[in-house]
Amino acid sequence: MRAAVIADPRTDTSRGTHPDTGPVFMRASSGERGDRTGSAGENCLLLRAISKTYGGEHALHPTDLEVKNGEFLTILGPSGSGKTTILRLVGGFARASSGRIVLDGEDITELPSSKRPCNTVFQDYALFPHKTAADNVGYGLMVRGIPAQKTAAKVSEALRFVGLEGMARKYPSQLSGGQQQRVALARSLICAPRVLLLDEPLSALDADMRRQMQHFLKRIQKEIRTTFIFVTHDQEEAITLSDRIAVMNQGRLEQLGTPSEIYYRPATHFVATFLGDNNIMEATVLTNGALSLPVGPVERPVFHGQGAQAFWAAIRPERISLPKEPVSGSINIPAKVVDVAFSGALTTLRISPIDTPDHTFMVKLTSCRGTEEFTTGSSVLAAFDPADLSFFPRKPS
Amino acid sequence: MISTAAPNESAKQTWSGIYTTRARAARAGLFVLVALVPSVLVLLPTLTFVANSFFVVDNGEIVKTFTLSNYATFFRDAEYWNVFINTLWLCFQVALASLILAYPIAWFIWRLPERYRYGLLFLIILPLFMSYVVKLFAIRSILGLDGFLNQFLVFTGFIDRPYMAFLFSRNAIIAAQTIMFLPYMVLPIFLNLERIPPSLIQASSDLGASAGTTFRHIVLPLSLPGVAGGLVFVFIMSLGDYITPQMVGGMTGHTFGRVVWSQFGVTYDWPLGAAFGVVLVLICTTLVAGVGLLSRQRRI
Amino acid sequence: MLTTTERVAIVLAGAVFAFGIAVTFAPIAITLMLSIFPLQAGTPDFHAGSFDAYWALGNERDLLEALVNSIVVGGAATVISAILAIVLALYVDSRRAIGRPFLEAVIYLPFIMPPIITGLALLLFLSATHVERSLITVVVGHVVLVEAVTYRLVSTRLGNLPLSLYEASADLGASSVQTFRHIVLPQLYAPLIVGMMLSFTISFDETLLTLFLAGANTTLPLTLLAMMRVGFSMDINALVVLVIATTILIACLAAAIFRKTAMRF
Repeated sequence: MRAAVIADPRTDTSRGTHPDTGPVFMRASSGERGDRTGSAGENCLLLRAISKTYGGEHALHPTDLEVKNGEFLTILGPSGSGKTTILRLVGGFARASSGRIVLDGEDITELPSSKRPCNTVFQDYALFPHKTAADNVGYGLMVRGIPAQKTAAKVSEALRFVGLEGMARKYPSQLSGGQQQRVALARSLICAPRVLLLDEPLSALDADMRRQMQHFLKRIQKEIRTTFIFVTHDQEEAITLSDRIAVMNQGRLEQLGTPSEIYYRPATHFVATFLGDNNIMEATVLTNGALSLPVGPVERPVFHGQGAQAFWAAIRPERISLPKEPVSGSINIPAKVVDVAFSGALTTLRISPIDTPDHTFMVKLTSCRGTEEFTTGSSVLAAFDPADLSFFPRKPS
Repeated sequence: MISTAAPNESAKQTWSGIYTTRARAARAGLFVLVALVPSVLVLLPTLTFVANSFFVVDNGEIVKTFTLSNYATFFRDAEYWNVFINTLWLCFQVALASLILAYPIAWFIWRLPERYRYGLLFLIILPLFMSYVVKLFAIRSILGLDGFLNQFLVFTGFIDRPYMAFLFSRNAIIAAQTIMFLPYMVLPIFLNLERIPPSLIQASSDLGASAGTTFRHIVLPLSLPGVAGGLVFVFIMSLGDYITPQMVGGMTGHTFGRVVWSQFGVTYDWPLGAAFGVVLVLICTTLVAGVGLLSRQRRI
Repeated sequence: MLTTTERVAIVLAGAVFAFGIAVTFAPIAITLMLSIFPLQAGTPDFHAGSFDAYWALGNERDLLEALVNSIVVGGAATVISAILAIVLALYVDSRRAIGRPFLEAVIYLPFIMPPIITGLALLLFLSATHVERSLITVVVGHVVLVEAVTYRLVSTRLGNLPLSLYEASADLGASSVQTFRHIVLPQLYAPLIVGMMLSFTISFDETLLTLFLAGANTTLPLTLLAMMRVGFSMDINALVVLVIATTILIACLAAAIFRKTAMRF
């Protein structure tokens, strides 16, 4: 047993990306080896054709994913999309059906979770109910055989770091949801993980606490610069928090990119509709290279790498304006207002073009005195810049 | 229906609003009606039993005067006291033996994949539905002088001739009661283990603990309420069982339960038997309350 | 992903499990063996096996009478305790209930205390009220004992019914009687049936309490106990095998019903 603990690569607690800039409790204590910097290139975690099947069903189709050093990566998707499966595979709680997991150049596919330099913040926090907050936080050090007097300082430092000084003697049942969350975070961080895995950690909190914790997580991640992999089904949360987002659907990775790439340049129909509202139209490439949309042709379309002939074209509701006069360079569509919904800062309208009444558009306007004049049935002119269109492939009908 | 949001609340308010003396009387009447049968069948006998413990027997007649002489007899008479202490020790040994067998069994069932788990749990519980007397007789025929255990040992050459000491010994009582009460020990431990969220085990492993460490620091402490519950349950069953010790224990089977029983048969001193019974009840209540307190203190 | 330590631990625990199954099932195995093979000088004669003992059961008058007594007592105790349990559970679950801790203490007390205590308390009570001991007093004792089982199952199910169920029913226009008849009662069938099956098997096998209350009467366990010193004949073993087989069947049925209905909640 003893030998196994000593051989554990994680007894070396200095493997955080920035051994000298992170908080003290994540650094190696004096006397321990502190020569590893973990600077194994830009990518720290590589998933190579990783897949998971349960009884013949693919929970995760073979997927490649590269996670950069120190980034906040969010895996976003509806339930059953395979996002939690990825997390469980990386954490070592499920065995991959195929593929490899490589961390800092080391293959960890077959390593048990206790030997992996990643730690998980569980959805239900998984705090040990019979241990105090301090004992929960110190657990990872205790099981590595570090004596209690050595860990005490680190533990209280970690508790202070997450804003829980004075709560050390409290049991989990005596803490609020947000406080339990912070204990779980401190408990994982004290192990100085290379990658921190967060499994929908905010889903049990109410809206207010949730926003608070989002800011808190973002701030902490900036400060310690540890790689975070965050799983959520909440697209707003994903956009707010992440450096990059991986959108999952039905066990497949649909798109990987920065929040604005994902939002404005969706690669698939699913991504275009899953994140925010979108107006989607069929688009066909004409012989002269122009693009035909139901609402009119686009002369010089800006494509993003697709070589297919049939496309979907999407325009965000907030990118459509309702000007008094036609705008040059824009596509102008005479239309009728179908309905108007006022929701505070925004006013959402549904309009139906005069020429193609079946193709209704959603338009989001910042509420102002002018928007109050739009009523159901009134005639309007809708306009959008073709450069704001995004395109993604469509199977020809 | 405008008040669908909280009909329960509004109903409660209405009730308290129109409460009259008559309604209150009707409520009390309903309670008396419902409580009557259980009270007569449980409360009155219990009171009679406690009252009797303060009476004495004179010339074969129960004299209904208040006296503590029965309790004095219990504390003063070294023979009763010895039997009492000896019985507590015996019951503790039975509970401990059951625990040593039951914990690995409960843990094993818990570790199995879900589809086998409940089938095997049922299998280990099933003997509870077999006749108590038959089990007793079968255990006698296994442990007896010409019993199957002796025959087997002679046949395999471990011993030369049948060995008397299996039956009518203290160990025979422990073995017999352990076999009979084992399921009562497995069940609470298993149910307790099953209440541990799987994420706690994963979290422990995630934080670097080996399987052994996780067991020592997480699984074992969290299953202690079940262990305590099982210990108390088996202890009480063993304490109240006055037939097994006699049937398999022979001379060593003179336990406190037998002493109580014999006051109602052989010696016919019912008040003394009642007083001894009160002592048993006090021990059982203390143990049950102790376990209740223990499991409430743990923050699960 | 199991480590070697875990694997070894599982194998060892599995061995203990197998041992536990072996010792707890040994009694029924031996009884079954002795009902088929006659004993010759303490050893079963494996060449003379037959099921004759099972056919000869009809001649065992005393044994059959005790068996009938046990069935009658068990049936009566089961039905009476079930009625009591459902009344008490409904009362305790209702909003107008008072004295809930008192009622539950009275219900659970005989089940928690060793049967010897319940037995001698009832015996003293019967004697004080000059009631003659009979099968009726045995039934009373068994009712007190097994009531806790059915009560527990029924009240747990009642407690688990969400309040919104009553509210939804009322919202859709049902009277409280209709709500009980169509919504609540169907939920109680399963715990009631399971509770009654358990009650019957407990009552049927009860020995420690019955000894205090039976007087000159006898039930199957008491008859068997009396015969233990002389040893069980093949006929007795045959009867016991049949009885245990029936009890196990009832237990399996109860478990199956319990599992099926537990899934719904």
